[in-house]
This record gives sequence, structure tokens and C-alpha cells, in this order.
Amino acid sequence: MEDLGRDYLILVFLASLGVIQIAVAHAGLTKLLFLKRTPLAYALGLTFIVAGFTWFFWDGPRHIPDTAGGLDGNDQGWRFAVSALAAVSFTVLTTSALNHRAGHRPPTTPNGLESLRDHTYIESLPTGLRSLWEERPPWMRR
Amino acid sequence: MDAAIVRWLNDGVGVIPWLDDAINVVVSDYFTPVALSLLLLGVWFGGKTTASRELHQRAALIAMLGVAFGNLAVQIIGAFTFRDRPFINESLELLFYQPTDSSFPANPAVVGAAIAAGLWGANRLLGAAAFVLAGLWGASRVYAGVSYPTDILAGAAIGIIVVMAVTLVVRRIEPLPTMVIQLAQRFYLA
Repeated sequence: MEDLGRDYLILVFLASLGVIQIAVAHAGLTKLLFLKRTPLAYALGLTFIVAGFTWFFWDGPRHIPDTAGGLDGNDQGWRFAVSALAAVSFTVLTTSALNHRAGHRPPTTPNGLESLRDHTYIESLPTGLRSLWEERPPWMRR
Repeated sequence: MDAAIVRWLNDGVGVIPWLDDAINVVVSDYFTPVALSLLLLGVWFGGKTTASRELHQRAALIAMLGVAFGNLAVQIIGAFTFRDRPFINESLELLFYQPTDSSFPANPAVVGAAIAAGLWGANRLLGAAAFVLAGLWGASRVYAGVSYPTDILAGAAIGIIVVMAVTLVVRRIEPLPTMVIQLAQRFYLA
């Protein structure tokens, strides 16, 4: 159970990294790319996905009932969420470091992912948090 | 008729070894659900404009809610009905372990159809791809001898109907879904 659970987390983490790279390359969110050239980003993404699935299924299809150590739907659900979130976190932090430019100004308005065409995640985050604080509901103001 | 289709498909097991290997992966509890969930993750980030991204993110939320409520529907139906798995009543070559829960309705079909129907609302191409994947998952379960075709069809119908209902409810509870997406936008995650 523990081995399968751990392997499932790794599968989802690797494949999520790949899917995110392909999706942000398609969307043109260049500051979320590990590699600057879009075709390379697609190739890297595909490599992550294929590597994750190949590694997971290398020893066979893993037909294990959830009564004997397999992962049931709920188990898969939370593990997928945790691992995908880890992949998102890894992507935003790593690309912030890779694409950092000294003296680059943060976005002036919080535009969500759209801002990540020109700004890294770490550059952008303070703008979003500031706007959240400024627009907090009255019951949160003293 | 249902049993005859299972027997006919299952007769193919062992005839083409590479096909059995491929179906062994597709029918796995881990391949198709992960692939479909990854599609949702990709859709979340993949829109080219803010408007298209919001449309896709709404579809991903609807699909996730569809899966949750679809599973709930299966639990409720399972409390009132029980259908034996095909391998109980037929002499079949199993490609899968022997599940002990009810064969009807097929939970994997509910999950697959809910995700595909959710995506279909925003992106016909990705929705169609998800339906193909979900269809292969369902067909592979019949081939593997663990589901009847009607289990799959009923599961798919439940998944689609639940997503249609969730879509209506999500429209009714606006601006809550928009607020969820806008909150994620402040964290640059939407």
C-alpha cells in the first residue's frame, strides 16, 4: 500500500509537471516555462508525462483491489490533489528563479495567470496579496 | 444480450498478446483516471486568453463536482441494488482482479463520462478526446470481464446527467463560482 501510494504520488507529480509545461506553453505564459523556447517546452512536457507513466507501469498494470492494498477512489483523489499542487508549487517557484530579472517591476494590477506572460510568480504574488488586503470585506476591517 | 457481448469480447483475451497488454494498462485503476484528471489540470492552465481560461476553469470545476456527485449517486444506487459481476455468472478469462462491489452502475464510467461531459461544455475537442478515453476505459472493463455493457452505459448516463445538473446549479449559485476563480486569480493560480 505504502509503495503503491508513494509511486502514485510520483506518477502524478511527474505527469503534472509535464501537463503544466504543455498547457502554459500553449497559453503563452512564458514566465512559467522551464525552457524559453516553446517547442522545447512541449518536448519537455511530453517527456515528463511519458516518463511518469512508463515508470509507474514498468512492472505491470498494478491490478490490486483496494481491499488488498490498492488505492480506492478517495485515496486517489487526495493523493492526486496533493501531488498536482506540489507540481504547481514546484513549477512556480523554479520558474520564478529561472526567469528572474533583477530590477524587473511587479505587475500593477492582479491579472491572475495572464500576468505570468511578463512577470514571474514571485514577482507577481505581492500585487495579488496587496489587492486582496485592500479589498477585504468590511467585517475584516477594524 | 448483455452477457453475450461480454462473452464475445472476452473471447478475444489471449488471441493478440500486445492488445491484452495494452488493455491491461487502460483498464487499470490508475491509468485512465490519472489521464483524465491531468486533462482537467491542463485545461485549468491552458486557455489562451483570460476569458477562455475562465471558461475552461469553470468547466474543470463542473467536472470535479460532477465526479463527486456522480460517485454519491453510485453509492445511493448501490444501497438499493446489487448486480453480480460478469465473471460470477460466466466462464471468462479475467484480465483484472475480482471486484466485490455491485457491477451496476459502473463507477469508472460515471467518472469518465462526468469529466468528459464537463470538458465538452467548454472545449469540444478536449471533451471528445476525454469521451474517447472514457469509452476505451469502459470497453476495456467489458473486455476484461468485470463489467456488463449496460453497467457502462448506465454509468455514463449518470455521469452526463449529473454534470448537466451541476452546470445548472453552478449557474444558479453565481457569483460564487466566479468568486472562487477570482480568489485563485489573486494568487495567480487561475
